[in-house]
Amino acid sequence: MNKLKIVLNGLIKENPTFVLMLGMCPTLGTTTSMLNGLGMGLATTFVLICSNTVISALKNVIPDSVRIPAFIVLIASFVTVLELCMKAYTPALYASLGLFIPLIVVNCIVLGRAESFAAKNGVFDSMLDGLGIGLGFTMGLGILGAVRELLGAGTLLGMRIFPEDYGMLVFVLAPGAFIALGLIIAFINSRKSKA
Amino acid sequence: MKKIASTLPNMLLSLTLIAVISTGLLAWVKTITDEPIRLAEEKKKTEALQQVLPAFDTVETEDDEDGIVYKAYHENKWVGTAVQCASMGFNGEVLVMAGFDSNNKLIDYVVLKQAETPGLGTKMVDWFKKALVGRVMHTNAPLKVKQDGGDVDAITAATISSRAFLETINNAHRIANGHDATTAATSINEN
Repeated sequence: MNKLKIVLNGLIKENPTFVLMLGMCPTLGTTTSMLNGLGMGLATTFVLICSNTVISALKNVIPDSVRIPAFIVLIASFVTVLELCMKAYTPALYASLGLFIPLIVVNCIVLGRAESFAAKNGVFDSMLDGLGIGLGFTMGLGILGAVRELLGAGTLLGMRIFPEDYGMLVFVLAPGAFIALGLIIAFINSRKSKA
Repeated sequence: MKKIASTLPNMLLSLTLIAVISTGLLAWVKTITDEPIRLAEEKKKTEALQQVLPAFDTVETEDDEDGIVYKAYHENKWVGTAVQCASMGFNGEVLVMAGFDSNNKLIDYVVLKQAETPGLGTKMVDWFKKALVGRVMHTNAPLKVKQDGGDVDAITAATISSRAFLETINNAHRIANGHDATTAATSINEN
């Protein structure tokens, strides 16, 4: 398979947020602002690249019957490494995302890619798949976060676009996350059916 | 290399090795991040103290059963007290550091930890500054939101978070006062 195609596959064709609809829990929970969405996306990307690479390298020494616990242990280790590093070197980001970081362990995208891609493909391809899917997830979270932040609080990446009084608070709250996500997916599907 | 079969020894060996290596990795990362994490927390605390206290040169730390008390001295004269204490918010603990000068005036506050609803309760970080900073506190007249007969505007649609926040400030003031009394400073202790 073409290397570029693997990355683009995760970014567009199998975009985890808008097409595969995986990892909806962190998607809805962390996208209260664009920065939080991007931060969560990049954190997940890091874990995806590490877990995909290592799982692909170890796929022949992990017996099939115990592959799920083995994958979970590996993924959980990378998440904990990430959490400790964020706590140490980016305390501000950790303060806003800290709650969601341990949840990456149970994010179905990570385990899903380990199962459906890394366990069947080579190390380098798996790494690229982790990168593609991760960036696709980051893009999805970034877009959703931007829409919610703009409509809900009138800011974009913290910069004020219009006065806060005109913001629709519902978009910052959970129901707004569902509404915004639904509208974005509807828009993307309408584009796709035309193409 | 061919995939190894799912026999009991293979499974045991494989899982054990993975667990051992992962544990080793985690232990190693933990040791190298321990120091930066401690420094980051220390820095956060120092910055908070500088924000909520008047200019000071030494700080005395005292433990209270409800929080931590930092007494600030400037040239051996007591200038103010900061208290770090917590209360239950809408979603978990709200940890606040509040500083008072020798006249019971609230100098400033810093929200150290909170997990309130994003966009609503989280506004407490700045919301109350306008109403509370520079306010002289009295132990017999605790702060209350308007809904409870007080004079502080609650955050729109986040009354529970607002109540929790004011409660922490009230507690901080009570604790600060209790400790000031023993400092034999110019404190008015109504209790």
